[in-house]
Parts: sequence; C-alpha cells; structure tokens
Amino acid sequence: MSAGAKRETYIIGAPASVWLIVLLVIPCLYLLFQSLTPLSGSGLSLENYANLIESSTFQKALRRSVIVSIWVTILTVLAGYPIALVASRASSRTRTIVMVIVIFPFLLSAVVRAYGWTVILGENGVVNDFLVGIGLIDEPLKLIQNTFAIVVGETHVLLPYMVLSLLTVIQRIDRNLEAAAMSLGASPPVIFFKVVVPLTLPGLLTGMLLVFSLSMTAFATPFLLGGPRSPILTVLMYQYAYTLFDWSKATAVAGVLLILGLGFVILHRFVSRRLMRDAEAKS
Amino acid sequence: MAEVKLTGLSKLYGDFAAASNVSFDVESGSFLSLLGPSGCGKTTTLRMIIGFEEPSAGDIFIDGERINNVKPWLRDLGVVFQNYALFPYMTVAENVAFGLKRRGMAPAEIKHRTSEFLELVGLPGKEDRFPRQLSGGQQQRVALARALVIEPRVLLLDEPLSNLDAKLRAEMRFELKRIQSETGVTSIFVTHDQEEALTLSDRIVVMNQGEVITVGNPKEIWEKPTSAFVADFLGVENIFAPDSFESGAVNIGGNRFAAEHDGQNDRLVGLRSTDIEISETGASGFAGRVRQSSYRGAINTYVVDVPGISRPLYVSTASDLPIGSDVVLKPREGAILILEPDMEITAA
Repeated sequence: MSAGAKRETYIIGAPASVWLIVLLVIPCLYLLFQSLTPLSGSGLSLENYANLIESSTFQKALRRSVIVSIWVTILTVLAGYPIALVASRASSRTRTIVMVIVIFPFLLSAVVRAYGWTVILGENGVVNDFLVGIGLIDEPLKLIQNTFAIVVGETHVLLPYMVLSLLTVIQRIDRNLEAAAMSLGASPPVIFFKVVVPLTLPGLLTGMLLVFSLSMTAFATPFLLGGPRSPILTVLMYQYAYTLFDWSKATAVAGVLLILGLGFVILHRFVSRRLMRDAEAKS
Repeated sequence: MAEVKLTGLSKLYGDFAAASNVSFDVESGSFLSLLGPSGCGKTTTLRMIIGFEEPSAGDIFIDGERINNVKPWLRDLGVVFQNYALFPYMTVAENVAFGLKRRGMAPAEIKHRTSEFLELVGLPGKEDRFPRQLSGGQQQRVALARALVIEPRVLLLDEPLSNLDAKLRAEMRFELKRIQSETGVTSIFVTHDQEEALTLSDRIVVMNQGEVITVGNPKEIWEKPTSAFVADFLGVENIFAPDSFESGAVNIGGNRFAAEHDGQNDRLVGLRSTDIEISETGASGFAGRVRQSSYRGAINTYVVDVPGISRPLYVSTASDLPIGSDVVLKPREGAILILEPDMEITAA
C-alpha cells in the first residue's frame, strides 16, 4: 500500500474510530477502572473481584453460563451439520427455503422470539398441552424460566452462526474426495466422519467459538426465558446493577465478561490463523 | 480380474439423454477407453458404473453379476480422478491405506501392502509425505496406488492425465500402461484425447451425444474410421463430399480414384493431410491452388483450394511451395476413407 493510500485509509476510518473510542473503548476502560475501585477507601484493588468470586450466587451463575454455552454449542453443531449439508447439496430452490428458515430468527426481536418460546414451552403451552393431552404426564412440566429454556432459546438464536460457518467450508469441499472415499468402501456415515468433518474443521471451530462466546455474553434471551431465579452471568450483572444497586459487584461481573470476551476473540484469532496457515500450506 | 458388460445403459435428465443405449463388453484384464468430446456421455457412463449416478435404463454386469442395485461402496471398484482427489489431511501412506482400513485389514498387513503398492507406482519411501508436498504426477501415482491396493475388480480412470503438463502426460501414459499390465486389472479409461486412447487401449469405444458411435481396437479405429464424426475426432483433417461415387471408386475433382465404397451415395470422403501427395506438375491427380501455408519444421501444412470441393484441403508435405502456386494433388493408394455422414460438413 502506498503512503497516500494509507493516509486515505486513515482519513476514511477516522470518524468511525473516533465514534468507537468515545462510545466503546472509553466506557469499557472506565468500567474496568470502576471494577478495580473498592467501595470503601481509595486506590485500586481486586477487592470487588475477591468478594464476587466468594459469592455462591456468582459461582452458580458462572457455572450456569458455561453449562448453557456448552449445551448450545453441542446442539448447534448437531443441528448445524445436517442443515448446512442439505443447504449446500440441495437444489437452489430447496437451499433458499432452508436458508430463509435458518436466517429468520435473526430478523426477529429477542422479545418476540422469547415470547414465541413461552407460547410453546409455557405451563399452558403447546408442548405441555400435548403431553398432558395424550396422557403421558399428569402435571405440566416446568419448561420455562429455567436453564433448559435458556438453552432452547439460545440454540435457536445462534444456530444461523453455526450453519453459515459450516456452509462456507462445506461448499468448498471437492466432491471427488467423497466419491473417492465411497469407491474405496466408505459408507455415507464413514465419509461424513473421515472426509467431511476433517475438511470442515476450520469452519466447525469458527462456529463453535462464535456460538460459545455469543452464548456466554447473550443477555436478552436468557433474561426473558431464564427468569430471575436462574441467572447466567449477564443476567446476574443486570440484577446487581438495577435490582440490588450493587455497582461494585456489577462492574466486577462486567469485568469478568469483558476478559472472557477478549479471551475468546484472541483464542479465535489464534486458532483460525493456525488453520488458515495449514490450509494454505495444503493447497 | 473381472469382465464388465453394459447393456442398453441410459441416463436421462428430463428430456436430455446424457447417455443413451450404451452397450459394450470389457474383457477380463483388458484396457478399454471411452473416447469422445466433452458432453458425449463418457463420464456419465463411468459414473453409472461407479454408482454415483443411477441408470435410467439398462444393466451393468461385473462377472455376470448385475450390480445396478449394489451400493457404490460395496462394488469393489478402484477409481482415479482427473484432479487426483487425494485426502489433503492424510499422508501418502494414510491415503493408500484408506480402502484397506475400510476392509478391516490388520495394521501390519496394511503397512506391508501400502509400501508394496507405492513401489509399484514408482514412489517407494514417500509414505510420510503429504499430497501437497508432491508434484501432480506423483499425486496421480498415489491416487493410482490407492485405487489399486484394494485389488479392485475393475479400475476406472476419469481423465487421469488431463491435469498434467504435456511431458509428464506422455511419461505417465507409459507408466499407466506398465502398471496396468503388471497388475492385469480390467480397466476402463475415460478420455477426450485420441492419442491417449490409441496408445493405451486394447479396445476403444467412441461416443458422441450420449451414444456409442463405434467400437474397435486402436488399429481399426485409426485406419478404418467408419463415420465422419470418428474420423474428424481422430484428426482426419479433410472430410468432404466427393463429386460422385461409383462401384469401387470415387470421383474427386474430375478424377477417378479406387476406394472401397459400400454402394451408398450419401457417403463422405476422408483424407488425412499426410495421405495426399502434392506436386507442382503431377501427371494424375486433381488441380488446386495453395492459399496458405504453415511452417512446422519437419513438415509444412498447406491449405489448398480445389475447384469443385466446398472446403479447402489440408496437405502436409516436406517440400516447399510458394503461396498462390498451382499444384496437383493425389491421394495415396488406399488412403481414401469412405465415411458415414453423421456430421455436418461446413464450408470453411
């Protein structure tokens, strides 16, 4: 890039950069600073974090966040592969239909989506009505306002990320590799695990990291579907800040989330760079 | 080793017949080529044998067993693709071992067989390389080893030499022939390259527009192409309608030449550019005028206008002729090919 072009890039990027620094970077740094300022006394200390880590509410929320994210990641992988395979292999018409269905949750507000799940999973919801109706259960199951509901809702929201990550790599697979494997005696399941999965690993890892980190940091869906008794980290932070007005704990939770988020970004960049390098070396 | 028999094999996509009524036999241990231009149905036919396409009609037999409904991964066929199709994340040894592992062979036996076949294809000691570390020719050798190591009933080759550069292609052609005769595996080879088909095959099936045009050994196909399409595809430069036919003769440019004519008057005449004698003052022959020439070293090719023939004739000769000179052309004895008119002859 010539010096002139470089300067142009800076000029074009300047307004956005100022915007981001003022509205994102400075608040984040201020928040971190706050989290390091103890309630009593002055100076910086890790007191807020120490208090937080000792609290069993935080421990439970952290555990719930991780468990939810692991489940959501597993479920989006399990659902994502078949959808991505169908979408990449089907006729263009079928592909369009599948993609519209997959992308659709993106276009809805989180509140509408959550309400939809309440209609389906609620005490008088479709699922319970059906199960009671056929006599399988006597009492409605508790399917909402708990961890289960968060997992269901988050899987629904985050599935498109997984499908799109997988789709880009699946479309690049040389179909002759599958044909070669088949001629050598590999049945379709064997082809999937021995050929498709290894070749789609970069997309799979991207999707998993994306889904996991987005699930860790999601707020609206867990807030609406999980309810106040099963908070994950983000919901806990909200409760500390707006229900209990305990700003020191709230900023500490925010600090934890910020560090986790950064950690995922760095991990993702590291992993994808490695995979890119491998892919380049291979081609 | 196995023999292959196709009877009335067809593949329809809606109204379009990618292959229609394809029938031929491949003798056990022999090498057969499916030759034709792109879109002639040769690859579709191959894919039906492999099992990637389901035939719309017709049957495929291997050793008398109808395999139409046998799953592709149970057909015991070795396939080599144009783009090698090696698994990029596996070493050479792992690639070759892939089919053996699916057959549940013991690891020690797999190792032994893998190095045995790498030796056969001329790549001993390359077990731990990755495909990306090998040249195109070497990758195709690995693909060949991978297909042969499972001791397939039939080896199917889909334009395996087309991705290689000219020199390597010639070398791999000999290698392919050597490996095929050493293993004695029944082989079906798909190609659009007449030279490959001629040098490698025991038999050639020429296809066009989904149909089999002719079947024969290389010598028959080369020396006595039966139709205009086959002749054109094999590089017969001059195909044209003569003045008229007589029994046992054909009239060209007002002269009578002996030819094995079958009595049908709609036939075309084929003449290779190397089968025409050209001189500035010939006694017997027909007259023409040199329009264009191209220097090709040992042999020059001339484009000669001949009155009465709709398109100019191509003539190859070692002698030097100026453009615009009047010449006399004479087909060599027995060189005139009488061809079925299965192709449009367009004026040049």
